[in-house]
Amino acid sequence: MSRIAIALGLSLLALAAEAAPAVPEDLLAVLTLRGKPCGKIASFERKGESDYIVTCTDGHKYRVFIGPGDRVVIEDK
Amino acid sequence: MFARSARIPFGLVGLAACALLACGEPEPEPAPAPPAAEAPVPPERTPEPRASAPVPAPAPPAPAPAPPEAAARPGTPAPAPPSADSSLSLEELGQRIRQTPAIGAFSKLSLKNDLDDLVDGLRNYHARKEGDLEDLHQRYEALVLKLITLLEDDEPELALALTRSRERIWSRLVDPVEFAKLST
Repeated sequence: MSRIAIALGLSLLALAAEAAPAVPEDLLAVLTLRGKPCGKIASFERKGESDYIVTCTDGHKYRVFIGPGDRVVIEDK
Repeated sequence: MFARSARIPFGLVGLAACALLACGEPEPEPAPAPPAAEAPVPPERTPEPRASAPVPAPAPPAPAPAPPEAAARPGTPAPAPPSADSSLSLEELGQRIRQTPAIGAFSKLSLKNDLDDLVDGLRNYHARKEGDLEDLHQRYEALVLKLITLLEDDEPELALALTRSRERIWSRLVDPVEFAKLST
């Protein structure tokens, strides 16, 4: 019984993980939407709630966070 | 989550343009906290087609009469019927875009920022009857194009519905009476 529950839980977790774009995909998408060159995301570091430092494969580095007025802010680093 | 979003003093509460995007969308807090050091990026996953949520079917466009030769030809696949949601209302589109998992939270919020700016421009245009409507139209088209690009892989039906509805949506936005209705 517990095995079934574990299997079910794992399946649900897998489904949940697939439901939304992963963080790097979302970060790359928002950089693209704002016309920021990046290539691909090489790495990212979470600095706080909705605040990330992103390093791109082309060498660009950005801070992506939510600023005043719920606006997405992208700063070159 | 998006409590901050809820606090935004939307001048146009219920504005359908606002409804297009992330009003009420969870705040971008999607990340399971990566390791303290830089997290390696997982290999790109190829988007798999997902079954999209069932959508209440609006009245389909008037069916065109089938050409007789197509009906008469045996073995010829029947032309695909128009998608059930090929034409959605602004409100339905907004609801579906808010709910779609195909767009991440940061992206939704960024698009919503663009949309808010566009709505501000339209509000000024309608209030003063001045401004560059062509510029506003181009910004609208760019915004729709971004949305379609983000949706086309995982939500092709929604992308198609948006494509088919975009002229109608624009015509509502530039009509001062319709815009005022949306604003209330």
